[in-house]
Amino acid sequence: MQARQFALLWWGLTLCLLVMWAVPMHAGTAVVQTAQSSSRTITFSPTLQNSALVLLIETYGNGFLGYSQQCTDNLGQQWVAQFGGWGPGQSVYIPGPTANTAGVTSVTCQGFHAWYYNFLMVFYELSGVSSPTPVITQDWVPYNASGGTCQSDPNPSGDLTILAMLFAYWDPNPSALDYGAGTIAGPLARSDSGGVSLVYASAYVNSPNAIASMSVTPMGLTSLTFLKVRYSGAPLQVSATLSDWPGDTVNTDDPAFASGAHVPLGSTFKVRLRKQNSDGTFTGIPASFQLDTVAFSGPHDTGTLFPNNIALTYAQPANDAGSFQAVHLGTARLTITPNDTSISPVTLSVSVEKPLSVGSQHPEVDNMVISISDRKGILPQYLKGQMWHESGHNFNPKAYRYEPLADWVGDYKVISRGRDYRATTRPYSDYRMATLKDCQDDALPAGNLLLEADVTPRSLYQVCTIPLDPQVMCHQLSDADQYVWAWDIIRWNRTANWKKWNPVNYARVEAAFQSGDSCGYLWTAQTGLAASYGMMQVTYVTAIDTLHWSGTDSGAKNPSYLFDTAENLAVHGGSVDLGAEFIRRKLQETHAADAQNPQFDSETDLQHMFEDGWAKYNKQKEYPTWILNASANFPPIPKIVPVLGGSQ
Amino acid sequence: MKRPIVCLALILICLRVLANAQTLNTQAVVDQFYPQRYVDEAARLGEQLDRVNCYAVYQSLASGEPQLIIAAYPDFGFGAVRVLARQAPGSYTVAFEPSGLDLGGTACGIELVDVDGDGISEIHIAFGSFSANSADWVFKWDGSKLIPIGPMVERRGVLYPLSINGGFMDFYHDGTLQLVSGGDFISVYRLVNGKFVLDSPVEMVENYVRQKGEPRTEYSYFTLAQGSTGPYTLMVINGDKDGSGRVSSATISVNGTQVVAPYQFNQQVESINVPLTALTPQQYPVCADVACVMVAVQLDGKPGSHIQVLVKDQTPQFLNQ
Repeated sequence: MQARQFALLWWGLTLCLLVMWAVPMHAGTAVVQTAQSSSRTITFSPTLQNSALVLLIETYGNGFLGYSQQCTDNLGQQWVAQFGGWGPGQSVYIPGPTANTAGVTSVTCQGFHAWYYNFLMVFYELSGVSSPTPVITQDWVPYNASGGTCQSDPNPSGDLTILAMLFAYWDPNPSALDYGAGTIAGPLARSDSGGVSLVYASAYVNSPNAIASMSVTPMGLTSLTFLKVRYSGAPLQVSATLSDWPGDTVNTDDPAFASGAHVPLGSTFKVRLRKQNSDGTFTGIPASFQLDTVAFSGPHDTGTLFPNNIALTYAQPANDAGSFQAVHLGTARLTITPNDTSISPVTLSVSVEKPLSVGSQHPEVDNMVISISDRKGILPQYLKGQMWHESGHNFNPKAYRYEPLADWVGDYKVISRGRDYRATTRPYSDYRMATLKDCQDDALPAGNLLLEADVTPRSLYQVCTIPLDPQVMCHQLSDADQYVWAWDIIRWNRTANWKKWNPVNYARVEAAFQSGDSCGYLWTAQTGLAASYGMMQVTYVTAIDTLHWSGTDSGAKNPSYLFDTAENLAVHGGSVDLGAEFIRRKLQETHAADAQNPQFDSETDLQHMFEDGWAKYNKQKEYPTWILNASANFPPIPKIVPVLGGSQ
Repeated sequence: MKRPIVCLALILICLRVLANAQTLNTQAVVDQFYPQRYVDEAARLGEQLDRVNCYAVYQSLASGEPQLIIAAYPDFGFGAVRVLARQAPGSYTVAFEPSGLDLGGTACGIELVDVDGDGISEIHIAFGSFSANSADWVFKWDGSKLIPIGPMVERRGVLYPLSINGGFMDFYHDGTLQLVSGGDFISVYRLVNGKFVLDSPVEMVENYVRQKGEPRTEYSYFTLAQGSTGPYTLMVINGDKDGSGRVSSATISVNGTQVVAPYQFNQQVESINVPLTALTPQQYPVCADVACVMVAVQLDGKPGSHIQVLVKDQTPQFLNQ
């Protein structure tokens, strides 16, 4: 075996060992070795915090040379030699145990023997290792064994990745091969005063996730075999773009890339991979995009939608781009795997973070919106759009509507007539207003848990005196008004439009009034029990019967606790959580597959799913369209643009 | 003298008991066919199952035993309608279950109504939603399947009902009933070739009855739906279908302008249609800060006679919805 062959085999075996703890590596963009007789300096772009740094050195000439060099970095830190006995002229250096590994830009080693004729330095920076101090063992196959193949996969279930490695090779008598012909991709040749150094900015293995071989033929030797080594070579570029915001492009070796993409909850974003051509232009790299290694940052409700995703992965809008929508707060790893297997996959951390705001209107509700959205898997813009619609377009926390005639939740069919909940069923009877005797029940006292706050919302309505019509005398209802007939509220509050919304029930009650059938129209209005509340306009009957509302922290189920006031929210009252809960449950039932393992081509598909939920929330046929249109007014606003680097 | 009374009472009690047993048995049959997938789904999600259902006996044997039961099973997100047919005493099977329809909700109710006047009832099933609105399905039973005949819209392969909070009224006295749906404006659907199609959006439906004593003016108010442009027509239905209850004289004013005069009424007049021009909402105390339209009606004639007044709104945008 020739000396060069032997030496490079040695490097390959060393790499095998490095792979045992290797994880994504940040590599400098340039390496320059200055040839000197006894001193060599390798330079690179600033290293990152918590990186592991390793310098491999080999000199050889007429026989291998010793390893008595002293290496010091630009921060003045002395590096420590490891395993000097690996082979003649070979040595490994790492920073000392207390050394600062961030901001290192060069290492200078001195004490080289003068009569070497080849000199090689390889610098590694590995980010993400559990300890910045690498653990290197000598447990490798002896170099005189066949092939120099690693004997076992040190981390068979892991995803070992070397993104780049930097060679500095100096030969006082360079040959053509030294300039990188052969299968090493993209070597850069540099000249300096000492001769020529070759910077192999990229080498690669061509079978990711498997045992792969790498030929280093410029050196005139051999095949080396690595386990699970991914090698991407020259820095690629990744762009990340939030919908409606400027795009952001960085190199994969840029610190901003290492800090990942930061997107606001609810946003759609695209990621694109591309490479620089020799003429300086960029070309997209066809690739597949996969999110995994998900970690959520907040608690989720039982049965949350999309329980395994921080972002939905949509169909690729182009073969070099991935499209996503953030649905839960947390982080995930985005692996971009080029179709061209000679280009190693790129991994990008994606963080879904709280937006600055959800639209620009009424930011006072945003914390509530974001929290509930994250817990239930409902996009914040969808939830806020529905709140806007339901609350009368003003996010009134005390939005309120009496429902005298509604079939399943109103006074006429459920509370005071029909099921007669006011008299027969708890908790309704606990919160009723006192009634006059009517055809159905004797006079009923006020429920023992009724609060003034349950009564006062009715001041929204008026009653009038006749027969001065049309110059009637009207006054708003107050606490002084006791035993108010529902019919009086119905007839004197025309703008509530109950007779338009419930024309048949209105006709029945009106007919009873006109015929003098008191049982058909005379009952004391239960304006607390037969009403809808808050920004999601949750009816009391639905809260109790359908959602089995557990009430506030104290167990109180007063209707007024459904208002979305700060006081009520502090004790876990309010309507928004309940309204969103209905949507979540509905979609979990009817879209179970997509709710668990989403397979959407685009946000349009997601919208269709939510439209089904909204259609069950309110049977009015335009309702889903109204909510969808409203949600467009509340896009998640990022705290910071660009998305690569920084934080939301 | 006492013995017959006691016997009669016993007979009545027995009948009552039988009737209750009938009800209980029917409910048990309906419960028996509660969709298993709801049970499975609730178990999967760890959520409470309320087993809400409603039913109507569509056909019975002479013995009173139900022969055909229409049952509805809303379950939050899901919903089903099942026709349960008697096979043997106490034994039933699912004879038909429609598919491709957006059934379901939080609650349900079923009524049997002969909407086309053929002496056979159609089936009106209302499903409650999370909010205060319910959705109306109208089916015709053809002996083997339920045919939806209510207004519907198709969305991604599923039929959704258009009518909400609906019921039936008789405006045209033509032997059929109209389906009256609520909303920002009232939608009146009319049977055409066996299906309900939109007849007209309506801004007001009001009933007026001649009371005892001196004739007096009754006032009604309504707001126009957002986007309403008209044209508008005031329609008066005089009395009942059989010609009874008609008024012989009445005055109708809109915003203080008389639009129907007493001479237009007599016992032979069944309906009157009057175009309304310049239907401009105005400020009235009873409408608070919202502009509305006032309709004043004074009926003359026999107490108990009555009219129904509709204000139809032919706003093109509403007609196309």
